[in-house]
Amino acid sequence: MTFFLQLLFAGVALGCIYALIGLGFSIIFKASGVINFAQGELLLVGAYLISAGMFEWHLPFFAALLLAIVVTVAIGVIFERLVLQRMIGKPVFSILMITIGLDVLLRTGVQLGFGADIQPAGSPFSLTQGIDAGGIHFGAADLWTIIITAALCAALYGFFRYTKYGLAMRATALDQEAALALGIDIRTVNALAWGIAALVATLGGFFLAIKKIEFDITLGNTALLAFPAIILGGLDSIPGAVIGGILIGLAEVVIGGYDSHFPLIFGSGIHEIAPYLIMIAVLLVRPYGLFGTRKVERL
Amino acid sequence: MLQLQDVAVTYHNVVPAVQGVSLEVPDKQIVALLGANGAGKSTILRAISGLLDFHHASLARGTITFDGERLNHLNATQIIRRGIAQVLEGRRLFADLTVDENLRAGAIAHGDAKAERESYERVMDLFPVLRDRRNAPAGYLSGGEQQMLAIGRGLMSNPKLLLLDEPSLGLAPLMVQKIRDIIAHINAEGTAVLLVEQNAQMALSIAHHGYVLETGKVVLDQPAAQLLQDESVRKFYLGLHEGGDHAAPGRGQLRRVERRWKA
Repeated sequence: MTFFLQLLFAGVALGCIYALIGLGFSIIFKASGVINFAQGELLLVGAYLISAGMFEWHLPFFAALLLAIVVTVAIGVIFERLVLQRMIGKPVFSILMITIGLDVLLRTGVQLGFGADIQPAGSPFSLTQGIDAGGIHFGAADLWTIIITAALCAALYGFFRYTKYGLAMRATALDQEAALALGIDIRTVNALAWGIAALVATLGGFFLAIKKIEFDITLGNTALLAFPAIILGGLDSIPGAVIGGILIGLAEVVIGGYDSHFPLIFGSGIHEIAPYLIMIAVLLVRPYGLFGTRKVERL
Repeated sequence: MLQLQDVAVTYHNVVPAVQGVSLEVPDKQIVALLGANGAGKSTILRAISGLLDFHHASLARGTITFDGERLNHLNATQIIRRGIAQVLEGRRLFADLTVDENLRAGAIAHGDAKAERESYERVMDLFPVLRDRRNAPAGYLSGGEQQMLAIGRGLMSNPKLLLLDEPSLGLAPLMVQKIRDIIAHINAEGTAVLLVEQNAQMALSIAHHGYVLETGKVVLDQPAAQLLQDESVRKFYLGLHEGGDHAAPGRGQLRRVERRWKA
């Protein structure tokens, strides 16, 4: 039982990382209908900057974190302003290709700047820190992942619910022309979406890196694992991204924990494909995801 | 107040929709803009409110001035700040947002909390039914309530000129009457209205002046009372005709109009 509870805890923590990555995808998708393929690389830039800030430039942790957030948010907003702004009204497919371009640009940029060597993750906690309670070890990094994700979700909820800009973003997501007719500035809405997406990507990258202790250029690929999470939750649903992320994290860790119990049937790598199996199963029943908008269309 | 001079609009730089329209909305008046589908009514509203870009259309020539200021190159946000609000055809509410949130969204461009509260109270006094349903998602309202909310949302920026695109669309006759009275009331409080309608009877019954648009051009430009008496308007917009199904022989002009309609 304690083993199962331990797995649950670890699963939720991993799920929170997926949730952070998924949030970035769905906020941009809601605002502009575009899947941002560079989301994983924003996360990579964030993780590298924190690591380099601490170990190369010898900044205190929070300064390094702040630096990483400022730089990634600036990349997101500037990219939106300089490039995507000119693409408003153009086919979504073209915009999608451009985000793949940004992805390549950021990845090679990171490689040029920091080399291809393995980097130690910048972290304020040591590996062994944590609380033991009831036979379960609550690692500091995992605990903070959960706490920060929960706090961020609450902050985003408040932002969307109670602030003027949050309302503008929700209105624009529902009907762009109606929002425009009310004088809502869609450029500001898009810039905000990219800024928030970059912020959550940096936090996701930070927690992912400390989970792995050390990392390299492939860290961005983890964004692919957030993909089943957002599809599962419904691409255009922000709560869906969070819940989908946690479900996928739980599935991966819990199934991984019991891998050895069914090696003959599935082999020991079943936890790696479990997220995708769950995604396919959900899509068969609910093609728009668990919380996505159900689209009624005549064909 | 609002003047359009020789305005021409093309979509995708090639498709002409409006070809040289001049019209005027005087201070505190209701002006009706009538015409069949595709005559260019909505395009004219888009040109005024700065929504042409969104539809890949642009002003090919002409000027639009509001209180003496050229609007030609202003964007939608700038135009609404100068006091022009548009209620789109088909209401276009944010269905998942509550009534209150829809109204708050209407005041975003202005960004003055005190003005927003005043506008909010004004809208609620105008539409008491909305007060009872303020926390309900807009999508759950009845058609008439939705139209009221759409108009209320337009009023949240406290406009000097309100552009209404087919407010009677899809409403029951009693509700059409109600919307008509509301428009007259809003106008009586000092807001000018440019009213695009298919329901000519309703529009002309409250308008001071009317324009009839055909394939992108103004074909009639008269005081509303006179338009109501105009034979072609009576026949083709009001469905009233005296003396049988066919126009009396010898009325060349009327027959021309008729041919245009039957084409």
